[in-house]
Amino acid sequence: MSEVEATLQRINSHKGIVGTIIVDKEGKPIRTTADAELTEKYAELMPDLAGMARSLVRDLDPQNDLEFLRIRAKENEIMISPHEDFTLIAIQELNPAAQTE
Amino acid sequence: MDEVIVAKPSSANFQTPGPVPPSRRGSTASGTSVPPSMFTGAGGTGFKGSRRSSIIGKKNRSMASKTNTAMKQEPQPVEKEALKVLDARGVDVTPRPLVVDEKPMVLNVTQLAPSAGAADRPGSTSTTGTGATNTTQAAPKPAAPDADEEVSGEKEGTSAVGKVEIFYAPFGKQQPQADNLCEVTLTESETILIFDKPNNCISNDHEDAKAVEERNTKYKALLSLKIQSEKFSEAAAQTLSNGFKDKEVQESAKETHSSGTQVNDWGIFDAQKTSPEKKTATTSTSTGTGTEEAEPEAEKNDEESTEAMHDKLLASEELADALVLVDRSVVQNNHHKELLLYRDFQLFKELSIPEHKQPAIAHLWEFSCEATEGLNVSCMVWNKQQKDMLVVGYGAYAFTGARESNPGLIAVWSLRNPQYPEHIIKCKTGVTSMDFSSVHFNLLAVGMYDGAVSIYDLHSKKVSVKPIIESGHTSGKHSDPVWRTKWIHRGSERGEKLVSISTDGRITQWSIKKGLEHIDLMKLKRIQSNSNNKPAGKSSKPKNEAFISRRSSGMCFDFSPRDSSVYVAGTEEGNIHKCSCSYSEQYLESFVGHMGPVYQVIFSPFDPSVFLSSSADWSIKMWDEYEKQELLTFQSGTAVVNDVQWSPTNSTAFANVTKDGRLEIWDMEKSTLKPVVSYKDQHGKPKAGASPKRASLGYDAMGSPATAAAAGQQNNRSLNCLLFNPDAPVVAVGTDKGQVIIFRLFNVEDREKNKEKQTERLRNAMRDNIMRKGR
Repeated sequence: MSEVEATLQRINSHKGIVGTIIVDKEGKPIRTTADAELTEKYAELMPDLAGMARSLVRDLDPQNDLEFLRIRAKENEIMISPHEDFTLIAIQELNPAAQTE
Repeated sequence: MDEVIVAKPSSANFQTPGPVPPSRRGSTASGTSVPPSMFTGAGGTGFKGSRRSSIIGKKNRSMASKTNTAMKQEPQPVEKEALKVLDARGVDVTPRPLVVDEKPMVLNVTQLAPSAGAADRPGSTSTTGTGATNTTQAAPKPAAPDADEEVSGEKEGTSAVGKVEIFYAPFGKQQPQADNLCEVTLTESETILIFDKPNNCISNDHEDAKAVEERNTKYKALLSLKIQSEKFSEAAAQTLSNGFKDKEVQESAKETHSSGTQVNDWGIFDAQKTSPEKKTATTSTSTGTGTEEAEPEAEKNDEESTEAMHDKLLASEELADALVLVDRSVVQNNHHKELLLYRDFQLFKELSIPEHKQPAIAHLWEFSCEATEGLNVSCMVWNKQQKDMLVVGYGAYAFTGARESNPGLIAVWSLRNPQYPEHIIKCKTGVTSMDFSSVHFNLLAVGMYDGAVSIYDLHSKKVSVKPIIESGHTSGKHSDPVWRTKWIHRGSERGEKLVSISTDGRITQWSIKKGLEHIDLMKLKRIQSNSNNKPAGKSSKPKNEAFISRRSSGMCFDFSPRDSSVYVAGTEEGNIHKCSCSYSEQYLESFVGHMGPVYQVIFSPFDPSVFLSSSADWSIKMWDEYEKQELLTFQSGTAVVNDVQWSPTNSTAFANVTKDGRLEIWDMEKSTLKPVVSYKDQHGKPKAGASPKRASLGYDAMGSPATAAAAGQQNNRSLNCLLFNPDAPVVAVGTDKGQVIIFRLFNVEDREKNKEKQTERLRNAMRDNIMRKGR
């Protein structure tokens, strides 16, 4: 447990991180460090996309599986780690504007 | 069905076997009047297809499935020997004979026109089959009404259903006796099916159609032939048509559910994988996220259980792994530029990095984390197989008190995450030296401050927490910190051996074939220092130094690339001894020159007889193993030189780190007086941010730091150790505050791949410089 906590803390201390969200398999956020509104949006949208991506990967080769999904947008990057029981989402801002630390 | 088959002509009109007025009898208009008479087919009184029927005009060709049996009033007495006919239900349906010998049965009470009635009767009794009698019936019609009445009168007396009155024909001999009356009740017999051939229709396309048609035509022809024949009579009778009965059954509507699901290729694959015995594959859920084998936690709508589930999730290993991945990604995003530089991507324009023409270094990042904060980096080593893995050992150089205050740490750092080590191993005491085996890439030999030599297996996190082998007191443990451990490949015969040196004066070779066995290769002895260091004036009388101990303390060693049994060892006195594994007591050669402890000796990878040594006397000396005197001395400052390393790509370049925080890169070709690059670390405290990087980018050949203001800082870090990366143009420098700095080198390496050429260059450079010195 503490390992998870330590890593979570570390992630959140990095430059540019907007937040990390852990969503369970039903779509309910378990843990989040982003604000509620954002969390809700991401928790709703991300697992679907991850599911589709996983479907794509496995359709191409059933022995393969999706491990990690990164969406690099102009403003930020969304990193998704999908699993059977949960989905881990991290959002990081790329612009130098976020370099306020 | 009844067993008994009674042929019975039926007429359409005839609904119930009720009384039939005599006038009707024999009428042919309605087709066959149903003979209320009973007649048997079984009785055998004459089942004949009588031709009479045709005369009657009953051209009823309808499904006369039952040809009427001739109601032949054959007067012959029916001799039945108690024949009984029973139907399926056991009801006695034995047809009663129509003709009875003894008693003429006459229904009529009155004698009114008995003859007429009699005349009637025969007609009446006759079935339609007896056409002649029928015709006679037609005649006495006028008399019929009476008979009718009578009949009807009679009839009333009888019970209606199923009973038919029948007059039997006093054909022939028998005369009705008017005074003998007896009541006869007749009931309709069961229908006896003599012959039933339902029509069979086949379509024209049927294969037998032709044959059937042929048969039909043949039959027709036959019929036409037979028409004249007496033996042939065609008769048809319409049979009773069974009443139709509608039967309805209601049943509750079957509940139907429709369910569908979508399956992908991989859904099928998963199902097959998990249940190969079952033929029917379970289909995946329509969301396509997994197979039907739902998680065992089927608890829903239970607040507490979801809580528990969440907690379990948060503690799961999967989540921890996922977090590590995310951590790496995030950090890599942040360090993207630096990582590209590390990998030597020539994308200077895109990354907006100034291109360096002269040798220079750039600070990329520092491997540092909370756990390693403040610890003294004592040694570093790249993994021989995974070149991105840097293992760093932490341990104090000086005795700082009890064991507890000198914790040792081994941190496995990787390029994947410059901000957190992949793995941390805690050790009992400080780590002072490390080396990876080049045969078994996961074996790490660690020399500790307390003199122990341990071997760790790093192939899995779980295994590497404790050393797999550790030298104990009984197995040759050193009594002083082990300052260098190295795996030496002694040739294919002897395999790879681990050699360690310590300040207790022993150079020990370890073998791990059975446990940890050791052989002392050498016990360093002090020698009389009759070197040139003495001022010329003094007499060279032998010194009678009283040694506290004859042992000399070893600080470093290196094996010759030319001969794996020859090595040089540097001592704390400043002497360097060339030894051989074959001699454990004597030196092959002694190199005297340094005036302080020699912290590093290292052979050149390009010229196997040249080696460098760095010492606490602020200098680096270059030696040739066959020369007693040093060839060159390099000194650029007044600080202890902790480490010196040859550049793996440039035969004339080497780098050194000093205690006052300087990293210097020398190139013999260019100059032996000054390093080409000199970097001074001006940050006592590491910052996670980007500021050090910006400040240190672009150190030029002149060696003046960009920010001169910080030059006067006192609390700079001492740089303890230095490592070139064999693949990337990068050096790693360990500090005494727990950080490992990664620098990118520019224009230091030489692209020449040919080793000989490099050696040549080195030789030339050496020759030039040495000649310049006027030797």
